[in-house]
Amino acid sequence: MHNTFLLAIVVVVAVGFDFTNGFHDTANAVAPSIATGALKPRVAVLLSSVLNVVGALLSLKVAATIASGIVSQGDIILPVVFAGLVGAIAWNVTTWYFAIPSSSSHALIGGVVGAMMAHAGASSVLWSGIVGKVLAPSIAAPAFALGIAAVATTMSRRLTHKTDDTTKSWGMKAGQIGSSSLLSIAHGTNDAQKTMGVITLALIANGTVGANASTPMWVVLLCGVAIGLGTYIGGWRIIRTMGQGFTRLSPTQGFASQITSSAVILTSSHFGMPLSTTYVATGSILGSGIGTKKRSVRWSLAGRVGLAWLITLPCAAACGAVSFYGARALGFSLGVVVVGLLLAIYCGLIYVRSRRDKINASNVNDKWGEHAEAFEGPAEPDVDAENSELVGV
Amino acid sequence: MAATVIPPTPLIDWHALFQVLYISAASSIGLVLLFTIGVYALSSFQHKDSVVLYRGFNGLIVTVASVGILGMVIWGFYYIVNK
Repeated sequence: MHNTFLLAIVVVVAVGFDFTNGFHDTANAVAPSIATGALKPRVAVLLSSVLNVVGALLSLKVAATIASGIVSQGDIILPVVFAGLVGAIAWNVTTWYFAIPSSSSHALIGGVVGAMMAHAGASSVLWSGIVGKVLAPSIAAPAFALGIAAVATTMSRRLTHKTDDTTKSWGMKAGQIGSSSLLSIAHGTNDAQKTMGVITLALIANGTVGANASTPMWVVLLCGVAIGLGTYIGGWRIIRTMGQGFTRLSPTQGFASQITSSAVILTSSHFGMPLSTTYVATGSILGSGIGTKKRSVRWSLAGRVGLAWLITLPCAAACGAVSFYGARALGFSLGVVVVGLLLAIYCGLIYVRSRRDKINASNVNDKWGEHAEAFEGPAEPDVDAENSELVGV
Repeated sequence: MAATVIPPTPLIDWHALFQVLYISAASSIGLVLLFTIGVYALSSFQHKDSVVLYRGFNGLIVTVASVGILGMVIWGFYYIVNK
């Protein structure tokens, strides 16, 4: 059944999700470069935003997976897509406030699955697709990234331990600019497509395009621009966690972690796996910390982030289900407007609250612990001290 | 007439996962190593008091590493876009 009003609202909310995806995931590409000083914070996010748009235009394989492999297309109605997106945005904004690098992809998939279960029951979810195409790659990919980055960092460190510091620092920082760019393209390739997939799903559900239709070009361009703008806003809170929180990154570590993330994400995109770029980037940064002489990693922080990863799918699913029930209770046409307004109010409140503990381009590289007490507890200064011999390279 | 038995599709595509593992491991470790060797050679090349032949050798390594890195990046884009 055609419902242009509902479709328009879904597209607007989807673009809103893409925007949150951009600023939530900026850190994946730029955090190491900013942390090591390879790029100035504002330059880093500008470069990343432009390359995200480029990446969004390169491939559509992941979009196809999202549109066809997660839930039964025959049972989808527009309010399901809407509620799924609301759940994903709510979870993204919440984790952004707490500076947790959680997965926007899992939030999106969780939101859609929760809304679908509320609408048509558990049988309408393609559980084999969830396990095979979402969970398995999302568990395997960060583990791969962690191991590969640890090996790459160790080898690079051992090969260059006699190299003069100035050349090594200059060379690795130059390499980081290249690897950061590659990672931004990889992020655009992988993540912008997820929203493209969702909008395609909405178009199919509305009957605007036929089942198994390819993603229209206007959707590709819209999603590319939205994720680019979101990236430019810069999710400074999460950039800080990834750049300063897990380990103190040297240019050698930053380069190795970014190259590893790019390789894993681009290869996965090639195979149509919609994995979480955040998990891969986090795995790579942790791996680069393990690859240092002292194996310096703040495992307590990594553990808390890991816990957030575990609850991302169920929490986003719960948000999606509640949004769907709310929209249905008021009648879908009025319901989506009310739920959308409630979401906007929630996002506004979170933003206002975040101003009390403001993190931006000017203080994103401050020593870890000065802005993290609200959620992190006491800092662990010994990690910096242990790793300081690598910081100056 | 014998019935054809279709083997069940595996839940997890292990083959694709392992392909991701070895392709990304080879490309990222290869690129990091190549770059590191390039930086090391550049550092040695900058030592003006070393033997001319040694400096020339390091300059050659810097050139080869640079071409190699550029080649890998171009190949990576080609691989993603066309394969």
